[in-house]
Amino acid sequence: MRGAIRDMVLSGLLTLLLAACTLRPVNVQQTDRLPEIFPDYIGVTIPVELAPLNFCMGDEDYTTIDVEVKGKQGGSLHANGPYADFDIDDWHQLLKANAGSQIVFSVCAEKDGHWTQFRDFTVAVSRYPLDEWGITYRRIAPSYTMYSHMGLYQRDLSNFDETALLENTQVTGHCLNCHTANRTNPDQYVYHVRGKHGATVVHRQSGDEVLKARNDSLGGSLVYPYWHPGGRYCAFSTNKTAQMFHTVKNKRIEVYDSSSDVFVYDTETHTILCDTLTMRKDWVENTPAFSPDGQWLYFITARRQVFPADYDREKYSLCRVSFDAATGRLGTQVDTLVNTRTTDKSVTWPRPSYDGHYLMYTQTNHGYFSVWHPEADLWLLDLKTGETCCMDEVNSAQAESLHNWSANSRWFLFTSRRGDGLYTRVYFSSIGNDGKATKPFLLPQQDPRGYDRSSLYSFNTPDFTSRPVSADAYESGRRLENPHRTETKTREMLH
Amino acid sequence: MKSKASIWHHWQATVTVLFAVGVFCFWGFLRPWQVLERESMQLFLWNTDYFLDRIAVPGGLARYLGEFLGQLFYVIKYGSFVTALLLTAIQWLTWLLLRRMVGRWKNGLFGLSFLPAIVLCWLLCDMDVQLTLPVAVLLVLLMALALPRKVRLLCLIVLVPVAYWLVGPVAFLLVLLPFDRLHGRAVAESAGLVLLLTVCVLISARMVAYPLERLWQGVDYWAAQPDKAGTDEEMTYDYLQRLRDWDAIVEASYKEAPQSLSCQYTVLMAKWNRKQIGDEELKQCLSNTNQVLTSCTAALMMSDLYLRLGFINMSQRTAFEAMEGISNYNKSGRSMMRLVETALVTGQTAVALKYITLLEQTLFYRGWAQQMRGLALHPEHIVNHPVYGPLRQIWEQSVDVFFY
Repeated sequence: MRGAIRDMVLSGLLTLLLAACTLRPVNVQQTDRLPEIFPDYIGVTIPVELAPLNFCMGDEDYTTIDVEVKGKQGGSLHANGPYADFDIDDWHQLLKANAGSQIVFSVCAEKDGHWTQFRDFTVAVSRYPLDEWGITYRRIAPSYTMYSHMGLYQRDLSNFDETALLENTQVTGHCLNCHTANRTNPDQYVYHVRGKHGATVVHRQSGDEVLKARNDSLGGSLVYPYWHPGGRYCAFSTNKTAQMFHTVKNKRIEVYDSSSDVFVYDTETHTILCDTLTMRKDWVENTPAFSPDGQWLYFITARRQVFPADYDREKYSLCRVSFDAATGRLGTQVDTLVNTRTTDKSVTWPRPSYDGHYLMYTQTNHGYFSVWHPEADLWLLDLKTGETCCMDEVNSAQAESLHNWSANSRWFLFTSRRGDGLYTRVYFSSIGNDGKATKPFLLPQQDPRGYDRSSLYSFNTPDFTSRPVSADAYESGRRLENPHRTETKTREMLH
Repeated sequence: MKSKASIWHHWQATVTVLFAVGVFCFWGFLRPWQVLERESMQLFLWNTDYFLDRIAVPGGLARYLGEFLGQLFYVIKYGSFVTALLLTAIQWLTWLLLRRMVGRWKNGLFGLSFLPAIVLCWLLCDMDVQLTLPVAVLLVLLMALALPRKVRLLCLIVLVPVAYWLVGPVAFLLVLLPFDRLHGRAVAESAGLVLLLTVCVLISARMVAYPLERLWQGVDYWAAQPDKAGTDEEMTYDYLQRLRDWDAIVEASYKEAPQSLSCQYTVLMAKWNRKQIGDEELKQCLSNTNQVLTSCTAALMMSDLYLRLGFINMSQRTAFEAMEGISNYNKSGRSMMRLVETALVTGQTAVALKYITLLEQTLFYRGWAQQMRGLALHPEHIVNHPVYGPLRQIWEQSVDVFFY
């Protein structure tokens, strides 16, 4: 009996305590200013399937935020606390009810005991679906030559769940990189491992194939992959990469290749198809990508420079050459789509949209490793008209790059350092029929400020995935520890 | 006479106390540089996420407690005291357990009780051995002693999986407990417990992102990537340069010329401070910027040196490399302090705030971090700071020179 009474009293006290902690706005002062929130979700356009846009006040002196969300087509939500933490199910219901319309946020925030009601802002709910289940990416510190813990992960975009595909605790001290799926299909992907148990792992529905990390004839590893839509071929580059470090402000690292070549790998015959057109002496070829119909191979190329003296003269042009999937051969003529002689800039990471309309790339002042170039911006090439335009709607004063498309080519993601200039985060945007992108929004997190302040990782090479990737880290680790590797051979194609 | 009789009667406690004093003096006076360096290789955070991250892996509680104690190594006397306490506790608990297992008091067993503690003390002289290991041993001893004598086997069947998850494969020591009763079933019981522990390890390999080999050895008992922390020579020179004891550095170099490049450069800095060499000779420190990074300690030492020379980006880089090079993927409070400083000098205040927020969740860096928060929130004051102001000026006037 005494115990029961004690329990009741304690429960009551706890309820009162919780109620006291949930401060409601009183004596609210109105202002016409928009709230400065983190992340900045004001005016963004989001897909129906997205996780809640939890946010907090940018000014940390605001200790409590009270948010009402109303859909223009009905429905409402409320959140109150140190940050707006919306119920996931309620959020999805609200978005579904307002697809193609807008939801309106009313934000009240408390600072030093005073409540302020800010001007309402809207978020558009796109009528274009984002059919992909989630995204994959690597998380790694923005380090120099040494690397600590890293891993390949996937994230469900409808909530905040992240799971590891493979971490380098499973293969201690190794570098995991270049995880690339075939057009968001998780049944076919490739990734690279560097270290004592190094390999290139090709995953298909039939299973995993662990290729020898380096091909001796090639003299290097298989990196920067991009799948042919047919699934038999995968384009790679092979690079002799080095780094040098700046002493000047806002630049830390310059990554360059003393040599690099592009080739196509035949997964059925384990043959590296070496073509002199994409492996030219005195030139560096890099970052290949296939067109969505598989008939073209895009790549970037630059005349090799002397490093370090001429590091800023290495500027890549965007080129393409035809590809015949029946024979595995490249064409005989290379077209230049964006010429550095015209632009005096450098192109990198060509990524054609899967509907064949656009090709998105990153433009920098020089070089190709854009993540360390604050001036790196996203550009869009209209493949029908040949016109290029800078995507001012999504760019910032910091590096934007490593972009990829959703399967319906309405959405794209990219990495940006706009937050703090160093730690790369994933942003999303959509493309309208006019080719204009919507204001980008940051990948939602349950506690956005807490996550941002505590995470010492950058997001790297993100991509959409249509379904969860089925990966067994234990088996992957065992396969990598097994010394058996499939040898690759080379075949020369002369012009 | 009365005190002599008291000492004789309590001779075991006296020997234990003497052992504790010996361990304290060993670490505090003979290897103080290693005490400091251990703390440099971790960043213990006082938050729930840090705890949950640790206990999500077998041996996690031992690692968490080891790092909890490790944060105290920030002050040499605290670290030495903690090590003495830890090893002495292990010795005494070993003695209690031996007494219980043997059933009769024997002087010879008392001497044997020092063996685990002495071995662990010797192992800890290797930076690749983590504090997790002695903490795990301590926890297992406590578990063994906490067990009731009756219904022992049933308790062990429950305890072994729990102990494995909390402290790692050192839980194996529990399977020896049935031998205290020296009955015919002891072998069978122990064999059964070994099988149980084996099954636990195999199952855990499917649950956590560590290879089986690592789980057998203990995830954090010893460094998965050995020889990255630094040599005794590097740690000694690092300790001296942190104290700015330039005289001691130069004297040490005269006794035995340092092998490590980072130590050689530290000697140059010491000689320059003693006006034995000029600016031109000191510039030798700026060469071989990659080869000098032979270990985490070397990188930390060079970070200090580059900052003193006014090379902010180089100092920043080496501090980052030191932190990323830590074998068990820990972060480093010392490195992070340097990254705060360099981020503030280079105007990356948002980055500095990230690191400051983390350091504010530590015991010894909190106060400093709170001061730095003031600078990060008001970066206009940096130019007036006696240290960072001049560094900012130097950095702003730097000509871009590549280093490798």
